[in-house]
Amino acid sequence: MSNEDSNNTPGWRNKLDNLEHLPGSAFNRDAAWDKLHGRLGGTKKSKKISWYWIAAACLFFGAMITILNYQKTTPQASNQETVKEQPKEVSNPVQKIDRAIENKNEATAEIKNKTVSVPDRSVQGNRSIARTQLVAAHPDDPVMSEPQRESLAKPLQIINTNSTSAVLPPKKKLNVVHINELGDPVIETSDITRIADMHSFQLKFGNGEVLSNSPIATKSSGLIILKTKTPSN
Amino acid sequence: MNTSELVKEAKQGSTAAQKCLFDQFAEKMLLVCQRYVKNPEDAEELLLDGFYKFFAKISSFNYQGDAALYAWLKRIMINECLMFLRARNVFTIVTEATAEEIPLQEEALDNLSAEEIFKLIVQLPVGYRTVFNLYAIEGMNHGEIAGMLNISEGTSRSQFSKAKVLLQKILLQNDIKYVKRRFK
Repeated sequence: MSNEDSNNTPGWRNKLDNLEHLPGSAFNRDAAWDKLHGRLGGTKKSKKISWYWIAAACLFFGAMITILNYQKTTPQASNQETVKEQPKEVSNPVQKIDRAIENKNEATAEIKNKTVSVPDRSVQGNRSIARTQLVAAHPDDPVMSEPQRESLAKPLQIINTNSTSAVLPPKKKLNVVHINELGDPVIETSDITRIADMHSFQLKFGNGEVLSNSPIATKSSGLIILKTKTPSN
Repeated sequence: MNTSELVKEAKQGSTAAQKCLFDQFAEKMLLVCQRYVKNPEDAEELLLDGFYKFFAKISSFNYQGDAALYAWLKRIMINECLMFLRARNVFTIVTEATAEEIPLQEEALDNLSAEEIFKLIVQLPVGYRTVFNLYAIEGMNHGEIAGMLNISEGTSRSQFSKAKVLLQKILLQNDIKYVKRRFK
């Protein structure tokens, strides 16, 4: 390092090394120490604070990641559940009706297998649940199907319901009729058969006036109302 | 408490020992900084930076005497000053001229007091002053100086020779002043 021998060191260099301070210098040692001490102490604090900040940032990011993951997984799961729960939407209305009927039948089959417990007070009338349902329909109703009529014609069975449990009667599966098979909703098959049995007639008067009937059948009662019409000719 | 015990306690983090060491060396080190950096505020700031590094690295220091401790501390201060000067691009404009071998009239310097020598050196421009400090006072060779200042060895030589020429001129002027002072 040295470019000269230490023995050959000039005197002016030694003088310079031994110089302790300049006479006119305004160096405040205590103030300088305070600054340095603050810096030495401050760095330790700042290091601690920086570690706290890093830890806080890690916690924050961890929490954010878990929240985001939870938000991502929850909607997907709920969507999957809804997809599982909801049947596939069918564009065809006939298929929709079929699906609804099938669901209904499945529901009734489930109820069939279950044993419903009924309180004693409601059972006292010795009436089964099946009877209450069947009484609602009238046997003369033309809309009613043949199996329904047969079931209505049978005498009511008295079921001993003294026991605390009652078994639901099996529901009969209704015939599925597609809308396309129904055709024009105004003209029904039952009415058409009745109208076919009816006869039309004409009345001729002496003055040349002709009256003709037009058979109209009501849906509910099956009565035939005859109306006379005067032809335009 | 002697210096070795102060160093030992300062290694253990004793603030009192650190203050004692600071009080012991602060003014000397401030002079070192002022030889390189003329501005007193900058020199004081560099002094604090140097002591901060000294206390931060004191655990790795192996005490082998007061002279070694002084040399180590001085080296830290010089490095701080050189870093400061490098950051300000002091040495980029230095022209690489052929070095003239002008002998420095060291006898003339010997006749001066330490304060007068210090003031002479501080009057030099920053480039000359730095090379002069490193070569004539710290005793480094031009290769080391060139490596430290990121300049060529020839530039270091030329800077030193120019510094000597300038010092001669200043000494001559001062000699006239001294002569005038003596005969007054």
